Amino acid sequence: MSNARKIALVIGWGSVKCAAALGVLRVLHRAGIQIDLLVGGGGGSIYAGLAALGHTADEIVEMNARLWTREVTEQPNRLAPLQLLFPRQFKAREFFYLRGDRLVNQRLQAAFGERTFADCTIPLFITATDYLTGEQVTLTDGPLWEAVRASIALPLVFAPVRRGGRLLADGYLSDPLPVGVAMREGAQIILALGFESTPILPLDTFGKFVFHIQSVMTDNLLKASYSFHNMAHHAEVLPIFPDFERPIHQFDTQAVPHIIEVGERAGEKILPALQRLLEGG
Amino acid sequence: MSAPAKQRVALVIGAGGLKCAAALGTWRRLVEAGIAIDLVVGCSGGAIFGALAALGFEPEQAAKTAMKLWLGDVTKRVNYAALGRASLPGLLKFNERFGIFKDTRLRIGFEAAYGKFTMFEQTRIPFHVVTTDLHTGKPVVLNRGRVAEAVRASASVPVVFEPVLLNGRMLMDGAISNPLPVDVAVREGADLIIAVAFETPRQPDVRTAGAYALQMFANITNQLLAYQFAAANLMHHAEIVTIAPHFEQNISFNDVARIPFIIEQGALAAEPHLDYLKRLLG
Repeated sequence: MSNARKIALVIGWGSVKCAAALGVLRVLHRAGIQIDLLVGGGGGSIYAGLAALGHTADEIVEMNARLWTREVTEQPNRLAPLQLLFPRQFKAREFFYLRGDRLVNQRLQAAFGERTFADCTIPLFITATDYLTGEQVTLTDGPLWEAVRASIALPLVFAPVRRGGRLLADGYLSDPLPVGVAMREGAQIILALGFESTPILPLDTFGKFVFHIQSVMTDNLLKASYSFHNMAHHAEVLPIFPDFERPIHQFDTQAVPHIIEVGERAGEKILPALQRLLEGG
Repeated sequence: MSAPAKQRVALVIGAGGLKCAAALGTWRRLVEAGIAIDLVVGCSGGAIFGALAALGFEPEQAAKTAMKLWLGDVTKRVNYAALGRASLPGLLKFNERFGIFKDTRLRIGFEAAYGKFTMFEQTRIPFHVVTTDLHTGKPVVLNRGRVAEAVRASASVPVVFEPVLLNGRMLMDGAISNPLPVDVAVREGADLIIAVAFETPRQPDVRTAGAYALQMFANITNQLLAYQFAAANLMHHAEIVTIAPHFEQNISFNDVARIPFIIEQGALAAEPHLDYLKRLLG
């Protein structure tokens, strides 16, 4: 049964923290609330994609345990150190990246199979960024695993993806919480699940320093885009920014059960407001 | 003829490295058109050149000082100690005051141009400099203390120049939190805001790690600027006129010889807006 008002769930960028979406999906499922539209960017695209295929939150929790494990982000690109030290002699054939993507591709293919956007039971929109122009690109067709792979192409970690003449990388570079896509698609109630970066102070290595600056910029971008979209449109936006109570690092896969639990609590918190909106028609 | 007392006019100069010198050309055209500026807000490179307008230089004199202020070799003196700490963090203790280049020349240039002990209270036009608190990531607006020190903090381009510890806060480039700070002018009561804006250039070839990383920062900064600007426009009633000087080629930190050309580009970019601005100010 569809809702009188079109409800969208937008799952933003947040690496491993995006699994909080599973907690939110559980809450919605228990309350019997159906989603009419799913939008995912960065890590959020994995869960938006699986939910759009009709999997329940509990099924996705199980799939996730096989999909996103520690090894996925531990596959070194053996040429990377040489390319870093001798950029002239060892120019990357296409781009520089630190982690090989064979395993992540296998895992995504295992989870999504051959299924495409056309197989989704809930309309799905996945965001990526055109790396050369910086524009947001919304993916709506083709194999799901490929779209997700483009959306999670974290710069310098995973290689970007070539698709339709564009070079696609992580969706967060253009918008860490793409509520704008849900608005354009006519959503009237938007559940916006967003994540701020985890501070990694003290900045005692060069890598941490660069990563921190990148996080500062991304958090500022999140605030700017969120406040713009909120002001510019009439859709009701219910923000969900889970408070994890302890630092969750980017690839801290062991924290997933805790993350889902926090997501569930954050979902419970906005549920009354959502129900009021739905009753109000 | 100057602006009626009620209309407060702000000149906001966004981040953009040496290209920000274009704001001096824009400002010259404004002065020639009889448009008085009541407030200058600068971020990063915008603070470097905006300071000259705020301090009360005549436009011609500001253009001359700009040539001297920015010593051509600011990025020639490599900070080997910092590089050592970056490559061997365990051994040499990396810390967040990291910059590839020594900032001595930068400081000398700023102090010579603005005066070493010139305070914000002494500027002819009220002046605000946008920096970023490295730890919280939030913008910090400076309008007290020494001008040269504030500008130096705002110009702490990540990785290039080290952040500056000021009043207990580790401050760096304003561009990472608020690259075009029109909101600061709004908060300071501006009715008409002339915003000189620059895009961060994109990399034509992203095959090396360095170029790839630069492209990542360019993409985020440009998006940040676009969304913040759009939000500020929606949120406030101040009239914002954007002036975007155009450059065919990339301008690097060391293109000092091209400053006169850059300034002229800023003057050209101002041209189409002058009639409208004069009309607004009656």
